[in-house]
Amino acid sequence: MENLETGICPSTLVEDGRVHRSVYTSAAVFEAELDRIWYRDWLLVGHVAELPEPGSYVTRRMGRQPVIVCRDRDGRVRVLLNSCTHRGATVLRPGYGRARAFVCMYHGWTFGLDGRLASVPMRDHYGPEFREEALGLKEVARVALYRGLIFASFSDDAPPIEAHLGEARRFVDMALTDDIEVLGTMEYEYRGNWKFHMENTIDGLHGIYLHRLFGNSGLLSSGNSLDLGNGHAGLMWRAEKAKGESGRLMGLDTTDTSPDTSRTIVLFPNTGLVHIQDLINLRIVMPIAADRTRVFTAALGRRSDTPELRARRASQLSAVQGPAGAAGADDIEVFEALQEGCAARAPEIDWLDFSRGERGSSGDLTDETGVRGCYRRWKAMMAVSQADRGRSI
Amino acid sequence: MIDTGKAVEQFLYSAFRLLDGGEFGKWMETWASELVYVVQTAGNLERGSTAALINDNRDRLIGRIASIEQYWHAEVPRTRTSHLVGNIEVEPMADGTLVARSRFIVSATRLGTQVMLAGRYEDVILRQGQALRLRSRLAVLDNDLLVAGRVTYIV
Repeated sequence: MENLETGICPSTLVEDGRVHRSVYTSAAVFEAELDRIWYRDWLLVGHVAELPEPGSYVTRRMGRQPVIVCRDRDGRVRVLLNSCTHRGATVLRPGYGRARAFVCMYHGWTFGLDGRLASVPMRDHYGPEFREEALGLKEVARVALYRGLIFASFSDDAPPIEAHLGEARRFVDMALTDDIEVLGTMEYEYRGNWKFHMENTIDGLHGIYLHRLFGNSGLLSSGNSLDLGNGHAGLMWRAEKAKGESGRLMGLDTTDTSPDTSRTIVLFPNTGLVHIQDLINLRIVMPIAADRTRVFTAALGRRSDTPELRARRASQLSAVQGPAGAAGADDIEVFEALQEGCAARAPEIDWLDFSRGERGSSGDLTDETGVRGCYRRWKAMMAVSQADRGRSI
Repeated sequence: MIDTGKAVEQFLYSAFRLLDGGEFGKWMETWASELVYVVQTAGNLERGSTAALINDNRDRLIGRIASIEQYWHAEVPRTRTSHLVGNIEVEPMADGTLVARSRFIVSATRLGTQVMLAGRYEDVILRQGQALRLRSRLAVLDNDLLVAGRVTYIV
């Protein structure tokens, strides 16, 4: 807050290899992030497996704005602002389901699945300037599908999704085949900044300290931290299948010791894709405030899976990565410890270190190469010119 | 029949007393040797989801207790829990087991924050001589959104 109020551009709060504490705590930085990142960049809003048929919908948030992600009557995926054009109420309360139309509870304005305003009570009591065509649910500027992932952007200028994902595509391709199904979902909040989740997803060192049971399982070994461009990043490592006592306590298959490759990916700013052993876990990160974040997490499977494999995928979310899991629970714990701790300020400690592996490493799982890539993107987007500011507000 | 109902109530109350008292070793003895412990949100249940918040067999439940007692940073300091169970209805099944349906409120308090989870239990209880043992528990949460994120305690 202090920085923006004195006119300092928030992009100066990130340098290569270090990040200023206020990027997590400042309400002013958060507002600038909404404007410059969340209302401009491609955001993940769902997966097509959540929308099995025409009329299927889920509600999500893009930044602070409520949206409906649905299939229209032709089966096309739409992303609409969840706000009645009459007085502004949400036309769908948060949730999921199937609808034939979206009817506002307040005065009965009725919208088609494509957002078009279909009927208005007391229509003939409006004047000649009242035009239904202009009063549909506002469609988000851009929607694109990649491997079943549904991305949306408020910016007309967003590049094609394939170009935006770039090098990250091949990692998405490895996890997401064409026969993905949702095995179950969870939604939770934590009292911490959204970027803690981004950093943590591709942090290759914390596993052996923060996740004491998981860290003993032999799941983490040699690998690499990767900057995939455009803020996207990943960890990729070879792992023995989980061994020994701790693997057994997490319900992992300890009899199969064949080498396996695991990976975690961040698609900047709000996608987490965790593909460890049998688990395929998709996460949508939705910021609420500088110190509050909501995470939607889905266990994915493939329609070709045997029942045994499907059960293993699901139980890995429960036992390891989910909010009641051996690893997932402590990730949330540290996000809140980070938020609390970052309130501590002194010039000598205000800059936090992200330089590991910048020098002196020939490429290691524990390098912070990936997260430096995320922050380069953050810095570039936050440095947007004054002329561009406010365009999407 | 009344005696069976009373016995099941007493069994559930004493098991929750052990749980809320942190006596996990003794609490584990209230389970049958093969066990299933599932915590599912009502939303996932409606959709017939395979994945659940918790889906433990004996090994994983032992792992969960080990996480509470030794591994989870999120259990330092330990969460204090109060399990309140009521509306207990017991149905004897043809195979000799008992199905107990009840409602619960679990209060979990740690670091000045109190979380309330509520829902229903569907328990299958075995009779082993004079003793009762929990064979399976399905806990269905009314709470689809976990407002405090982590669940590092037994629901």
